[in-house]
Amino acid sequence: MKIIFAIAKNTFREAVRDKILYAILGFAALFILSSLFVGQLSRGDIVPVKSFGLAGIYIFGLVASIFLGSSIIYKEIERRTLYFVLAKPVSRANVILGKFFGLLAAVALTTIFMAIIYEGVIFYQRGGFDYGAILAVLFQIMEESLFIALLIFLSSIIPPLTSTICAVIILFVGHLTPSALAEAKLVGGISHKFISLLYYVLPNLEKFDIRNFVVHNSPIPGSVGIIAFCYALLYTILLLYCAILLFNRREL
Amino acid sequence: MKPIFTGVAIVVLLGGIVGTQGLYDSKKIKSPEIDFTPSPKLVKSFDLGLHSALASYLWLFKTRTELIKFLFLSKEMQETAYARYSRNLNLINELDPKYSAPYVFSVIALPGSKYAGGVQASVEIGMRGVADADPDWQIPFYLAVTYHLELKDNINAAKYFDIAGHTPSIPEPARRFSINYGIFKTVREQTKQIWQAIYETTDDETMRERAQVYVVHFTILDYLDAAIKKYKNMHGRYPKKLEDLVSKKIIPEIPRDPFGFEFTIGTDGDLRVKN
Repeated sequence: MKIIFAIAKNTFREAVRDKILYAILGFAALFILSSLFVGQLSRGDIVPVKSFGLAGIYIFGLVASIFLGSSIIYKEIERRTLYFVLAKPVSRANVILGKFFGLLAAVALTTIFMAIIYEGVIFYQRGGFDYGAILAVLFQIMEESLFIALLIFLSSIIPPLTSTICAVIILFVGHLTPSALAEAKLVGGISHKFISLLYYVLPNLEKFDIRNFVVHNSPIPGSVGIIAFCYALLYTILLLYCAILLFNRREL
Repeated sequence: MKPIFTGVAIVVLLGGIVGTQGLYDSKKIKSPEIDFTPSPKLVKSFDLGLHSALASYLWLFKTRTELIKFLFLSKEMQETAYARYSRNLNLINELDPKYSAPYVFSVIALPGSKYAGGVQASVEIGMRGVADADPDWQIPFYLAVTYHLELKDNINAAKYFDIAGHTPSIPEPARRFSINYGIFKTVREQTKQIWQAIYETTDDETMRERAQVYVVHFTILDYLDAAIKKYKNMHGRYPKKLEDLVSKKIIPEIPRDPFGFEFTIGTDGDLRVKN
């Protein structure tokens, strides 16, 4: 456990020192602050301000995850720094888990930072905080945890560029499988079975999206949080487990 | 390289960029407009779940401007332009049915357009908005205005003014007007009968209570009107204020309106809501 914590701490430090993270944060801050302009354009209507702000947090959270996560293992192999780590009494599983927790902490911190800017914008607009957004951000961190596990899994077997492309494709697929399944139901037959297989096997990310509820202050069904948490936890464990298995087999 | 030379080079290059942009703008090159609206299902599949943000973006940066431009088109051009506006609005409504601004804007703007189907379109969009959007008093209010002014349909006007009057965050003057739609003698009896019929037929307990309150509201108005008439017959002039009816013992006391409104008497003897 100590070893995992040490690697996580190191990964976190490395991530927060990465200049690319500051560039992403700068763009994110600009995007979220531009909601003020949207607020003026919509003549005080808070819906566009909230939806743009939350969209900014989501998009830039994903961008940060992709930039930091797509090369996280591969980079260590390329730079040969991993050999020094593995020469010590450190298992490959420790490396994967440490990298995961470190990166998750860095991305979660980035997301929270963006959420603070968002709350500042909302406070400026209507003199109160958007408490629902805190819930939306928590759901987003769950999604990010799954996504980072996916990136680490991909990064442990394929080069960064391929891993980025695969992650982006899986991200889109993860959001479109529910509508694809609804369409396939109408068609039926083998297409329906194939889409159903993809629907259950590939990460289904729609359940982490409560932004539309938050934007309209609609009540969020209580069970959604528990289901989303369990789903993220189980999928993350599966991906990290597979990453460890593949990484153990890999010849360095 | 000398720093002065670098500075000059950057300024010259920036100047060139600005100049080129200005030159491009002066040519007023217009790319051909593509009349294409993707299906809501397709858009929803690829927007990463950011339906609400995309709906806001499409409305604020595209469709709202399109509606403003539409209002200034000739009658013939409005026919084709409306089809495109309707498709784009439908996409926004499908992406985020609760986003109220597109419904509000459409309900206000369309009846005033030269487009022959403007009123009907406004009614359809307004009804969709009342059913699906976040509660926004402007949708039922302007829908009721359309029913009253354009379609001369007092029954539906009363229905939507009632919805507007009970929508949270409605400004007080609009609430006062909405609830008191039907106060004028010409439509009061009809409006009272509508609420009476709702009271007697509805199974919905909340609606029944609401109808009862309206019936009491209109009964009070009739009662005060009759008292004013009696005062005129007795004294040959209208009372200046409602208290005169009590002091002259025509009524024992001024009844309390269930909506909390206070009334005043006009010079013509008509009852009006006090501001």
